[in-house]
Amino acid sequence: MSHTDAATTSRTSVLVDGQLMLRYCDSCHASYAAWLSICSSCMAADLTLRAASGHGRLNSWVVYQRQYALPFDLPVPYTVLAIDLHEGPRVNALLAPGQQMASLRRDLQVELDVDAASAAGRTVFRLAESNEMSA
Amino acid sequence: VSGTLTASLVGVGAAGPFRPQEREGLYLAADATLSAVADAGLSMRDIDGLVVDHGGPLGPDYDQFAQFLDLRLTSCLQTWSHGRFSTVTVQLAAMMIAAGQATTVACIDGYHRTGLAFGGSGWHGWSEEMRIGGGPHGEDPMVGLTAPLGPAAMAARRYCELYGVNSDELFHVVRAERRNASLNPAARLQGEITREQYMSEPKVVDPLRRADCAIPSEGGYCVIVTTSERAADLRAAPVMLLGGRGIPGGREQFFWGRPGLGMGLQRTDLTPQPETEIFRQSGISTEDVDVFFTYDAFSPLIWFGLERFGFCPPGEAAAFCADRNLSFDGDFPVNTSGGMLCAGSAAGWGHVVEMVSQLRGEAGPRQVPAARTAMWGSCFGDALVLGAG
Repeated sequence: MSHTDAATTSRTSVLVDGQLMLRYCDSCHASYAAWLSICSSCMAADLTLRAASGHGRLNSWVVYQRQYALPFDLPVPYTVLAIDLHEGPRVNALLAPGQQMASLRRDLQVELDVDAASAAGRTVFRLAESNEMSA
Repeated sequence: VSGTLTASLVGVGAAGPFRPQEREGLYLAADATLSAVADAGLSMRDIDGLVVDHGGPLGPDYDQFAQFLDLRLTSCLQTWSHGRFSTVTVQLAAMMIAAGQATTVACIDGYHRTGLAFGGSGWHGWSEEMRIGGGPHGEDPMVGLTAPLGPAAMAARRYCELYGVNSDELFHVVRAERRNASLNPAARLQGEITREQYMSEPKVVDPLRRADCAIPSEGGYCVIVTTSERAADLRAAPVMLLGGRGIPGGREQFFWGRPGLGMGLQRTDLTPQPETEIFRQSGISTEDVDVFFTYDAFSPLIWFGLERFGFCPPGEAAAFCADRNLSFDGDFPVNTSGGMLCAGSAAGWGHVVEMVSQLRGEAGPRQVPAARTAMWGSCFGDALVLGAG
């Protein structure tokens, strides 16, 4: 496995046409990051890959002020989110272009930005409009 | 578990910490071992057990090392594990001795950096990093979460948000370790730091600043462990192993967090409980700890380590570090060598050597007065308790 091949999907998520994929257990209905192949709740081995709802809440975030590790470098500054998906798994994602770090706070509702993710080939989330309604 | 470990640490040696890529890991480890054997008042022929931390490509493998120094071994073991497992090698040595497989065991590491960045695609640990369940540092480069610092900053932000803590309060941790390092001639980072200087340090991955990150270093280290009976006849005052354990980080932990920060791959809303097993095993309480050591690749790990072992309740470590003084001459000394943060980061090995120096009363100008009990406890749960003989 070459280094580049190993990195075509994120550690925490797999994208297909901008959709975020998870593995679902048909036996006990648990869901996992797409990497997992065996259900750690009931040990079923036939997990199926399905698109996630794309909705979650913000667990944490960081802002990179310098670049590391070619070939993944992005123009700095950029913001990386840790998101608790409503299905249970936690994924990392980029904050959508144009959204500001200053508006972030714990437990904000976030949603997959399919167009941005599809264009970038990386998992991209944005703040959900429902945050403004509840604020 | 009910087992107790009985052994003594009789010799320590260090080559480094050095700037990365100055020397090969094999030579670093060999130099440290020769120093440790001399420190113990032993000869190389007395070494009949070997425990190697890391091994290739970060350091020498057990067979290469044994051949290089012509060791005559009755027992040997190599463990690949995370850097914090340096103290676990001491426990493994004690097990070898207790099981009658060896009498005098050298625990070594020749920690050599390859020059490729951690978390980068060219790093030898890349495939390891991509394994199911999260890699050694929680990196996720495809979305820009590169280098160990990224996940560390993520856990720090989560902590600050959960408990309403200002990350600028990490200054107190950095200040103390800088002060400690300033009295350690081997420390790579010299000179104390003021709050103004800390605040002017650039944020590299917000919320963490450059000063919140360890100094990447390499070095060779050796700790010699033997029976308590044999230790009584050797050069230095023996240091007794009182307890220890090595455990994996749970799935609810981000690498660089502690339980309850919940930064693993699956959401868990876990209420952290302070560790009790290590205190029961070693027969001490938090009150008995004269000097505390913890894994400090990044400054917030000190907050997390203090909370994991119950030195303060969850969410109160920032206030604890501001109210108490973590310097060697303070009321709660932590990482008295200057730690990985300031002395230099070569896994956790520098801490083990410093623990022994403190308990022998050989720590020079940074000696903690009347240090009788030293404890290592990382935010990931591994621990080591040593007592002055």
